[in-house]
Amino acid sequence: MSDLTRGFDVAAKLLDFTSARARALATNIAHASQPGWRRVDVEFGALLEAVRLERDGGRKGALARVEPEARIDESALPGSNGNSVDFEREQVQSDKNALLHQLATEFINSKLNGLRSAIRGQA
Amino acid sequence: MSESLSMQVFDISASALAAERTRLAVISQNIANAQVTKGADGEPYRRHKVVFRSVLEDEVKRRSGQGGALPAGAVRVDIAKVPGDFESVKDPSHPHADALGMVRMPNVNVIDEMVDMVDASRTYEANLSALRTWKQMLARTLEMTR
Repeated sequence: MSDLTRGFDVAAKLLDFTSARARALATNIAHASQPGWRRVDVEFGALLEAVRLERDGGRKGALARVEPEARIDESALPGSNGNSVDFEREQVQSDKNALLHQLATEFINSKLNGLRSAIRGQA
Repeated sequence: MSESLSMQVFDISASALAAERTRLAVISQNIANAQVTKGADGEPYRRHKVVFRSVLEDEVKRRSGQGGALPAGAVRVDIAKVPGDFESVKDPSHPHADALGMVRMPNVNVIDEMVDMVDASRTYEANLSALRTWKQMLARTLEMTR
């Protein structure tokens, strides 16, 4: 991968993860009125580990194979009706996730703009 | 379903908005009927309640191929009648009073309904906000291609 497109693969995977997380958080809010619903969430640890394996461990394809996975969040304590959704947390995590999504899109954008300038031969 | 993830998130939030709206409608119905001592069946009005259900993965698989099905993670509501005894109050002048002057009243507690209404309305707003966040994320993704 050339310098101009370096990091594209990571940014693309990050978009997969933020999309999956947005879905998980939307599902939690949708189930806020359902007794017994345990909140689900997507952990980004697997992505970080894949990037580490690919870059430092020289394990090719580790990044391509990693997929976001929504799991029940065991750390969230359920309320009296067994529901562990808490609006404030969902909202804060959702804002954070949207920012991360923006970060990835803007990274890709700036890279694309660089490529565009290179193709046109502009400084 | 073959529908893309981006559209599924909209469907999940939309299903919850519809569910909360149904819940608000049922609450209004309960409050409106809180004093109805004789309905079509001759009994006092019985409180209604919405019951939430998740759309599960296997249900989606079973229905695959049929249009209009909700994605996994969406919610659906059923409306159920709440069992329980009717409370009797003494009011001999009431046309529906029995020989002892007792009138059976609906099992609706207006205060409970009001609390439930605030909850339903807040949950509706939270879902709306989730929908808005997702819309912004998609808009940013689309801007990449400009």
